[in-house]
Amino acid sequence: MRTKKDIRKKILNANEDYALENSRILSERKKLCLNMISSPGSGKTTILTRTISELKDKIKIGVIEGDIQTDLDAEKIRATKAPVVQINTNGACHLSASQVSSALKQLPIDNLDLIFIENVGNLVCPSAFELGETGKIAVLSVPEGDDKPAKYPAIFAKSKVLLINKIDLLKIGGQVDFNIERVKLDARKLNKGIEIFPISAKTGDGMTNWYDWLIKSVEDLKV
Amino acid sequence: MHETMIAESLLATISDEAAKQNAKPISAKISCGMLSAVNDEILCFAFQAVAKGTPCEGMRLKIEHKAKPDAPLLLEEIEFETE
Repeated sequence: MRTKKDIRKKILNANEDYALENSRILSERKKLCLNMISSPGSGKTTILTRTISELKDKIKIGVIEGDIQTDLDAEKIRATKAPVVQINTNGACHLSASQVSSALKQLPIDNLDLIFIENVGNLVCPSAFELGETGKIAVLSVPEGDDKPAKYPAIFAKSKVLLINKIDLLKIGGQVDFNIERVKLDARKLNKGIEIFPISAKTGDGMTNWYDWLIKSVEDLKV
Repeated sequence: MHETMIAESLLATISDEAAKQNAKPISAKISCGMLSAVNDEILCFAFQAVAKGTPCEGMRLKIEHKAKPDAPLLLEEIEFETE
């Protein structure tokens, strides 16, 4: 005989329990926590090192670095003197909330205003795993092409902010086909409220708008 | 690739339920929204791989994609073979 049983249970409930606990720890202490998600090579680490250095007198920033292997990125963050914890996923394509939970315990969070989580470089999988963050930041760089919001909708639909990085390459006439208006239109079709900042973490172009958003978000949490 | 973690989590939940029911699971119905980024073929393949050698080996998965993009990833129901 065959019988059916109603279950109606969330499949990733173990991850979600950790995510809820992380979120509780962060919100009780009024800390902003941003989960950065992008393809490999879009410039997440460069954005972070520049942001940390230029905001060092205004916001205290700590970083959780996620990579499949090595602590190369953590080394770059360490050079800015910001506290950093490296997580190696050893093959897994995304960070999970339990890993972030143990990393948070290793960071001096009471002395910080903002914690960045640099997720494993991957435009798909990290978007499906809540970590307990305040919000997600999507990074798309010019050489990746302007069709990415249409082709990989999940991360653009879930993010608070889209950073369009490496806009300095747009000035190399004829070398790069990238329609910034198309990116904005496609991203807003998925997510009406998304903030979009075109930047170059290399030259510093557009970074002020991003900094203003960060400073305001940190202040809003404290009120 | 994140389907492997979903498959492991799914296997744990179904195995718990099967132990409680003391019955062999035959199939399961799952639902999700677009934002779960679930690929049916990969999830089924990953599930077969992690279920190998367990009472869940050979189970069929039915995956329903809901219109609401942020519909949660849910295990809706399990069908059991009972004596």
